[in-house]
Amino acid sequence: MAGVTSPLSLSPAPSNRGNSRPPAQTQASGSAKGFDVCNAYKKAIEDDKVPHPIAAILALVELIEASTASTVTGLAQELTIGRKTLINTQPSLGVRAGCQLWERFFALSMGGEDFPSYKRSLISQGRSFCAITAPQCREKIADLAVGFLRDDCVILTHSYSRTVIQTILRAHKQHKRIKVYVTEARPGCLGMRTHQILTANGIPCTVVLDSAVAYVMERVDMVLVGSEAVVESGGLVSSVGTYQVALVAKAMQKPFYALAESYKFLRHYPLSQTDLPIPPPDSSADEQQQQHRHVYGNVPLEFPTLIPNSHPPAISAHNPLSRPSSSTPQSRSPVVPGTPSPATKDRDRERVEMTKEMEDINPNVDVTTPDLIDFIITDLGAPLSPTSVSQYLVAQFSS
Amino acid sequence: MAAETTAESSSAPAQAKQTKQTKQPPPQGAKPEKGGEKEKGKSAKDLKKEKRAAAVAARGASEASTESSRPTLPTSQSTDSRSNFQQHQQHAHQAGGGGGPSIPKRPTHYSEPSALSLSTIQQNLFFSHLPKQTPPDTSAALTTGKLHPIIVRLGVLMSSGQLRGANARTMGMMSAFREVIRDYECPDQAVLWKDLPIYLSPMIAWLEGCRPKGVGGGNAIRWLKSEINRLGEQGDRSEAEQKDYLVEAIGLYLRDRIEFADKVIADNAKEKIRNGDTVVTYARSSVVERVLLEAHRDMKASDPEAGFKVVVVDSRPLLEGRQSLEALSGAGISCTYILLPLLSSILSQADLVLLGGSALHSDGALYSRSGTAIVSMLAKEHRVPVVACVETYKFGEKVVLDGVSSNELGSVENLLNLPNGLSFGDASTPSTTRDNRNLTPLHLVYDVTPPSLITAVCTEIGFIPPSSVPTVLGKASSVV
Repeated sequence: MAGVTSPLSLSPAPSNRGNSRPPAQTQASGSAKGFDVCNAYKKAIEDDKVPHPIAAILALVELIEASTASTVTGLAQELTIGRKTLINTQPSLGVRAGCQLWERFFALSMGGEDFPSYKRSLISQGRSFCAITAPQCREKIADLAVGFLRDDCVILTHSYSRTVIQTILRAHKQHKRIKVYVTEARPGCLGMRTHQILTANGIPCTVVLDSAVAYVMERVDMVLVGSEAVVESGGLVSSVGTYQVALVAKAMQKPFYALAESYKFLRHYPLSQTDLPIPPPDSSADEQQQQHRHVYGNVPLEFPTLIPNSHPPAISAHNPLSRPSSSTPQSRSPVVPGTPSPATKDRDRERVEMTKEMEDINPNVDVTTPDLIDFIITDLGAPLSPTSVSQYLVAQFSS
Repeated sequence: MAAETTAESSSAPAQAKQTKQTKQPPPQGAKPEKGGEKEKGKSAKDLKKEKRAAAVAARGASEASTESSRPTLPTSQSTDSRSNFQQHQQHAHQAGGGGGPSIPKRPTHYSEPSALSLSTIQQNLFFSHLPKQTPPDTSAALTTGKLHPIIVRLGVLMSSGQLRGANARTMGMMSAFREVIRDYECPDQAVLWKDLPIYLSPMIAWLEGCRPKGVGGGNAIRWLKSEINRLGEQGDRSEAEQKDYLVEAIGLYLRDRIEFADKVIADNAKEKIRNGDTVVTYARSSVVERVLLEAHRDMKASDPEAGFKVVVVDSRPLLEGRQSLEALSGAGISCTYILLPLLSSILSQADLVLLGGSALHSDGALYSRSGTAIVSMLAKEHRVPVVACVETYKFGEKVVLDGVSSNELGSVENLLNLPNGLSFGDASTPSTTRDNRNLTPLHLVYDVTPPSLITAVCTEIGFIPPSSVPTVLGKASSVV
């Protein structure tokens, strides 16, 4: 069985709409002998304090350490391969942002010294960035954002964000009375973690159903969210649900602030929700997932290409206009994977829940459009309006 | 000084012209060349012939019959009494149709309808400031001796609308100036970097008179002048070296700022076109055409089943979309062709609107073919993303708030006369339209799309929101 599935899993998934880039070039193929960037990345991300972009940079720094290249060009080539492997395998957009930043840094610092000392300085600068600068970013943001939190205010936050929690804790320490609503954020339910941390620190916190955001919005003074990446339009790529929170906040005219470290800035301009360079989920997925993706396509929430044939005769019996259903073969109707078995007689007793497969076809992140965001609070100083994000990115990356 | 050197060279073609006058005009559809590349190695006589052909073609077949009355024009003048001839010409121009048969003049109904309508527009308070587009006076231009024949030819091509589109015009202009610089000889007492701008300025002015060069062309000219100035700082180089430097620099400018820029824009923008999409485009833009063609090619290469649809939206009187349609459907893209009024019904099925542009002002407003603003407005209404593909050399530092303060008046010839013979008033007597003083046919060539209607601008430095144009401009000026 395993012998049959492994070649299947390596073949590129059928590309319907969207990202049709070949997934996961064979693991870390060209990079320095035996060094696996993905493993390094995964090891780095295990630390709860390390965000995705920093983990990506750490992995690339480790790649440089392990590299045996003796020229700048050789090193650059290995880095490029490492970067591509990371970007094409890891589902987080933060990885891409980190890789872009490191690439830029590498390109700018090139030249000058002899190669060994150049390599040493690269490594030390990379390490110090990850160990010192990155945590400082979060501190700076907390310092800036805490000024926005008034005494006795009610904050709505979505899911789990370390920066948001740090900001709230900072305000709490300054003896501001703060109450927090946090969304549950299904299916990951990371909102529960936020709730845990805040309650442990003595901050009144209530978990809100994702569907109750509009209900609770009238009691909220401000919305504070974290982000996975900030894109060039000034929009926010963040855990799914942020967009609708922002829409509700806009409709109710509540300020919506996003917190983002500057290393999360990403040179990408999404035109729609599906226009994100997220690689298809791990290509080494099991057979069931492969088949499942074959049915649904690579874009989240696509309709299945094979429609489950539920009960057509029942409809045609009541509908005089419908044609005789001879063309609909009921006998060999394909069963779409992930369809929950229809609830039997006692429907009110047995709750039908989403299956794992149904959850899987849902998106992990969404794009919050810039028109809904009041400010993006970053470590760059004064809070940025969404339009200044692009100005910053253009100034940084184009020359 | 400089004027005399070219006066010498242009006297030969002037004689050639006399013998050529009676020749039949070539077919109207004579295809214009994009740049000045082809002119290399051609004699001045050939250039002259082409220029004449273009001028005749521009005038249209209806007026071709009056050609027979024209031969008297140059023959009555000797080549050395040039200034005299010019005075006559000016006189004839002012006097209109009142002169006797011996006085050289333009044919009486030479573009008369447009001239008249234009005069009514000129009286109109709102549009009186806009430059009048009259066919250039080529013979006078050539006899001054201050204009290189290739520039005259280019001017005619531009003014007749055969060379259309900001990229094509800028490329044509810069390659023409490259030829001019190649042919230029610096007078003995002069310094090249001081004399060359003086030598070029009447040509620039003449081209501007034929058709305003636009923001992109203006940027290119400004760059050329700064390059010439830079020669002065460097010094210590022979004239040939300096000329070679300029010729090479112009080549690089055209390559980097237009050709490569278009390539990168195509690479960027085609990522946004996905299998099954419907892309709406308006009129014709060379960049958008390229994006669509490359996207189609790539999509077919990765999956023969895949494909996207294109809706070419067009509008009268220029109907430029037809050219686009030809290129796109010729490449195998499934196309739909509609006119602007139908757009709102189509947009609900669209996924992307791709626009070209003549300029992008520093507030992010797109200056493009008139009608673009309507397209973007409707697209915004339908929440379809609008992407403008603009090279950074077209970024302008001005802020333009409306489409009236700076625009161009287009020909109104076809505005009232429909191609199917349905004309305003009585088709057989065009004088009705001509005499109607209460009628102002107005054709503005461009309009301004406010930045709020543009989702993203695709440039060679990547996708940016329109609000980032000043940042790009700031960077560009610090580099140059």
